[in-house]
Amino acid sequence: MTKMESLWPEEDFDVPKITAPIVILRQQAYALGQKTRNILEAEVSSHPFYMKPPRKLSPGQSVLSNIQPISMLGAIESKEEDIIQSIDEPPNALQHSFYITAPVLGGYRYRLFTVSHQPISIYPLSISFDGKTSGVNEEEGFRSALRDIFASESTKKVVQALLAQSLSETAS
Amino acid sequence: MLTFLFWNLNGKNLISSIAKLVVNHNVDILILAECNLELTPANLLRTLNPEEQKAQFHYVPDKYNHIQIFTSFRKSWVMPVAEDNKHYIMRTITLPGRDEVLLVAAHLLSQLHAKEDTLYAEAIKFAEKIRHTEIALGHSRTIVVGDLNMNPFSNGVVASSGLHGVMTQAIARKKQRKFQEVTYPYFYNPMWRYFGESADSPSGTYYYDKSGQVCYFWNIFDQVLVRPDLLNQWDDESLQILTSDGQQSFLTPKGLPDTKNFSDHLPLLFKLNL
Repeated sequence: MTKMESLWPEEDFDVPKITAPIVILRQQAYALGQKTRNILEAEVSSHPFYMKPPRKLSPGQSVLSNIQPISMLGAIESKEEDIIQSIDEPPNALQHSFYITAPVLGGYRYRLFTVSHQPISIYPLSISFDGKTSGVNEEEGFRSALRDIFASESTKKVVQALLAQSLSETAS
Repeated sequence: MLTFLFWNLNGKNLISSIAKLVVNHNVDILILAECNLELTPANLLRTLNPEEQKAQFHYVPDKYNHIQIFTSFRKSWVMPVAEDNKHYIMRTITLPGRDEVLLVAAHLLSQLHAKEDTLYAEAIKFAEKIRHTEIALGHSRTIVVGDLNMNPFSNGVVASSGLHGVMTQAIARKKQRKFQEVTYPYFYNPMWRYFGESADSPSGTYYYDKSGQVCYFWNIFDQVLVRPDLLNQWDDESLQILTSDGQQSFLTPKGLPDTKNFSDHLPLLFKLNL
């Protein structure tokens, strides 16, 4: 019997040491539960969609609304209509929606932000938060953007409102 | 192995006993009925998830918060399957790599507010809803737990068109019985064994001595019923009517529920080998 020949290169694949955005988001979802003792929780829901190729921006051109600018070098900008799934185009990107949930309030969910990226070349990825979309080019920039989102006044307002209502919810 | 605890609290703030029971018995699924205004889901979460420790317990959302369910595992493993009802809620539990189970948590109409024939009629509707949900799910790995406000011998629990609960596994394993051309599935009702005198267990879960000519004194309103398809996972020996939280007894020196300090119902503990 002829031995099957492998046409793959002999050396091992050099797996890059990155944490996928979905993993980072799930870690942060878990962290919210821990911070509020699961009175509020968060969940990440992912789906494929069609995204128009991002347009390059000059440095400093794009910021997330009412939060500090994220990594500016090579930031991308896209509009809402760019990330709406097109029925004519096959999916070429992944979108992760980050929801804050209030189990005690009948499982109410609030979509805080979304993250979109190409499945293979993860960065640059785009973050849509508070009506605006901006981009980041690497993992540390993504973590920094999340830190800014979580510390923003509008996030605090959402968390405070849901916590207050959850704590006042009684058994019927 | 999943450990379940059900307790009708009778509106008492028994948060300290609940916390002890959950820790002492490594409870995974806590189901509570008749919680008072102080015992909100958020307050319970704060007790079950103490500061400086990993927050392990999750609240299972419910439309009415009338029956409260908390799980020690992630909430995405617990999904609603039918519209919530004030008297029962149905959830599927799917642990990784395990078959889905249908959990039905119930607190049916009180005997104080409805006569026996009304309870019977409601039990038939309840059982019908369970059967329809099982058909929709495509399996009958179902467990029912709660305060049924009926005894295991009550018509609503025994009747074929009702819950069809039988007292032995041998009968339940026959799966179903045909009556008047209609086939009805069985539930195994292990609660029968608790009637009468027993050295290591009270004679019921609820004591009431004020009824008329016919008085049972001890009743078993709090029950767990298991479909035959789940019997291989059912840990029969794990079933207990609990009489203490490990420190304080739920019974008076006369052996009756201490309704002054605790609930008029005793809690149920059982395990499923999932």
